[in-house]
This record gives sequence, C-alpha cells and structure tokens, in this order.
Amino acid sequence: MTTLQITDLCKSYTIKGTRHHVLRQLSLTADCDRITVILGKSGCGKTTLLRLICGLEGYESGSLKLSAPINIGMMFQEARLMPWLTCRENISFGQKLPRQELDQLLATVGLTSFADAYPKQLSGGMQQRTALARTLAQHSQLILMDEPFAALDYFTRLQLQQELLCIKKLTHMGMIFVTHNIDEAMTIADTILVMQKGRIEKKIDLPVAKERDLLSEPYLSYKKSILVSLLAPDNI
Amino acid sequence: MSAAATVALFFMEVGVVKRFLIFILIILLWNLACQLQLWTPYILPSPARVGSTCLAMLRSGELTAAITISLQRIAIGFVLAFLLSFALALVGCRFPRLRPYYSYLIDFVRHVPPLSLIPLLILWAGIGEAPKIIVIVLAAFAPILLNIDAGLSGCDKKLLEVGNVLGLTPGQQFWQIRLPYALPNILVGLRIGLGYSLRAIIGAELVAASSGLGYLILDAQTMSRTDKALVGIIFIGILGLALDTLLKRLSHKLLPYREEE
Repeated sequence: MTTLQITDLCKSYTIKGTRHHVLRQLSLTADCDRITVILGKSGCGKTTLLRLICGLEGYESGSLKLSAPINIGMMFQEARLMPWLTCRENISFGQKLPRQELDQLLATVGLTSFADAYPKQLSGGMQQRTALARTLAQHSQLILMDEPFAALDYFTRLQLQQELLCIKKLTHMGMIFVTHNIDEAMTIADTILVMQKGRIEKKIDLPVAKERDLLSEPYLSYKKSILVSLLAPDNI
Repeated sequence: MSAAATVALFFMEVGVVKRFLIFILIILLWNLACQLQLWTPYILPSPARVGSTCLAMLRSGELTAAITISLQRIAIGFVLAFLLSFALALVGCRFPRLRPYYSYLIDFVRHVPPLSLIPLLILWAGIGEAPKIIVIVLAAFAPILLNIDAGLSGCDKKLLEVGNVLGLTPGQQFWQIRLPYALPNILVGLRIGLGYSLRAIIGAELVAASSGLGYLILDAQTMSRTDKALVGIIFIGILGLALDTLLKRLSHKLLPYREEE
C-alpha cells in the first residue's frame, strides 16, 4: 500500500508586497488506495495543498513523499475541457486510447450519446463527467479532486458522488478529494481531514460501509464535531 | 410552385438578396443621379457606361492582367506579413522577457503610414517589385501580429495546467493547446491583415508600377477616365469580398465548435 506522507509543509504567496501564509507546517498521512477527503472553509489552503501534491507549484519548506512511485491524476474545480475538441476527443486528450477503452469510459460516465458533442453543448454536470473520464483515462493510482462538484446543482452533485463511489469500486484507485461540503465529505470519505488556517486540525475515520444515513449516528456526531472545529470563534 | 418562385425562394433562403440589396439600391440611386444630370458624366459616369467600359477592359485583357498582377503582389506581401508576424509572435510567446526589447519598435512602425515610406523605399529598394511588396507587408504586418500575439500569449493558463497534469511536453502543449486556442485570433488577424493588404495596393502601385489595379486607377486619374477608375475600385472591392468570404469559409471549417452553439 502506497502512502502519501506530508511533513511540516509551508507555502506562502506575496500579494502587493504582503506575505500571506497559506500552508503553515502542514502534516498529514494519506493511504493512496482510499478516499481521503480534505474538508475546510474557503481560503484555508485546500486547493494549494492539492497543487503542491501534483507538482503544479513548489513549496518553501517541509517534505512531501510517496512511499512508492505512483501516477497522480488531477481533476479541477472547473471541467477545463478544450473547447475545440468533442467530448470523445477531450477524454483521450494527451494520450492514445484504444477505441474500445474510450467507448468504455464514455459508458462509465454515461456520455455515450454525447460523444461527438462539443463542451459548449454539454451541461455543467456532463462537462464534469467528461473531465472525470479524462482523468480516469490516465490510469492514475491516485486522483486529486479539487471540489469537482462544487459548481453543480444539488441533485447532479448527489448523482456524481454515487457514480464516483461506483468508479472507485471498479478501479480501486485512491482519491484525495477536497471539499467544503460536510455532507459530501461524509458521503464519500474513508477518512476526513479537517483543515483550517493551513493546517490539518482533525482526522476522522469513517465506517467502511458507504450506504450511509447522514441523519443518524455516528454521522450526526461527526458533523457536530466538524462544525464545532470549523465554527470556533478564532476560525470564523 | 413555378420555377421563378422556386428560384426566388432559393435566393431568399440563402440570404443572397439580403446581402446584395444595398448594392442594387446604390446602383439605382447612382443611375437616377446620372439621369437627372446632377453631375457631368466626367465626374460621375453612369452605371451603364462603367459596365460597358468594364466589358471592354475584360475583352482586351487589361482588367484580367491588372487583377492577376495585383493579386500576386497581395499574395506575396500577405504571406510574408503572416510569416513575419507568426515568427515574432512565437518569439514573444516562447521568450516573454524579450518582448520589452522590441514592443516599442512594433508600436512605432505600426503607426507610421506605409505610404509615407515610399520615397525612402524607392531610394533603398529601387523601383522593382520589392518596394511594392514591402508596402503591403508593412500595412498587413501589425494587425496580424497583434492578433496572433494576443491568441498565443493569452492562452488560458488553466488549460495549460491540464497539459501539465497530463504530462504534455512544452512542444505538445504548444501544438495541442496554445495553437488551437489561438486559432480564432489568428484567423481574425488574417482577415484584418488581408483587408489592409488590399488597401495598401494603391500605395504599393504608386511606386513606378506599369500594371495592377492600383496602377489602373492612378492611370485612369491621369487620363481623366473616371469610368476606368470606378472599374478598378469596384474590382478591388470584389476581390476583397471574395477573399474575405474564402477566409470566412476557412474559419467555419477550422472552428466548427464555434458554429454549433
């Protein structure tokens, strides 16, 4: 089992001469075959953390290590599809996929009949599904997901969460999923890491079963505990 | 439905009538002004007179020769302007730190009217084809460059990040993201540049030319042949319209995703 080990990671940005510390000696350990959800309020450094993990940005100090070399994929908050390519072409963008696999991916994300549509012709949910298929096409062992369903309506979001869990069952890949939505975190996570002010403040391991009734115990207690952390007066 | 009605419907459907209605109206007004003798035929020859002159020039081969030579000059100047702008835009995109060293020069050159350089061009490049081509290049270069540069350098960083995440090399990122992203801008640049090339043809053929549409108009002016000048002007317009339509078609072909909205 591959593990992601992050120790004392620091990152800051300078905006108009003022230095803003985004990650403050952040440490965490995540199993790369599980769904780890990083939960936190806007601006707490969740996206920055993912960008550092996948190498889009460098960090100032600390360490970020994988126990074994693995492929890491990334799915962004926006679908980021190439507007000039069709759904099918977007999925195979940057890689050579056999036709059969491409058709399989289209079927997995339920877009077979929209294979030749351009991104502009797809709804927000369909665009995100295309982006998900593109990420799956990479055969990554670990996928980083930066609030991928944040811009979607409630029902599409629920549907995609369930689809994601099905895909996880089929592919056995791991995910680090960033969100600010507590219910979403409790629906899909194996482990929730509560993040605030550039640090991981709390770790919650959830029961293995994914058919979860969020209005019952122990989820209500988890939710309360997360809310207490996130709504603490010095964190608002 | 009668044949005439079918033809009429076809023209209505393809919008041909809509597009040409204004020209028909102008010709009718022009004809009316001539009938009322508001101006002398020397100042404003009638449409019929211009038409018959045009036919005579076509029969003698004078007009065809003028169009051919002007088209050649425009084509050479336009292609050179495109290659030069593309190369410079590539430099700006690949080495953005070099941009400050040449950006003021580009702004300087693009504000100098190519016509003002003609006396110098004759001194430096003689009276052959070179100064004529240079005038066209100078006229078309800046608008093409500005558009290609805006397209290549203004590429959405978020899409480039997708390329990074998917492990694309810088070369692959250029061909697969940056260039397709810039294509609409490049095509707009080409259309504008083509317009500027056509406008520059008169200036270019001021330089000791003995052929071409620009020369034809200037010669007609010297000979007080307003009808011939009008034929030249009309054909420059027709040429522009035809070339622009071709480029529009090319845009539709290359950018199908923009049409399917």
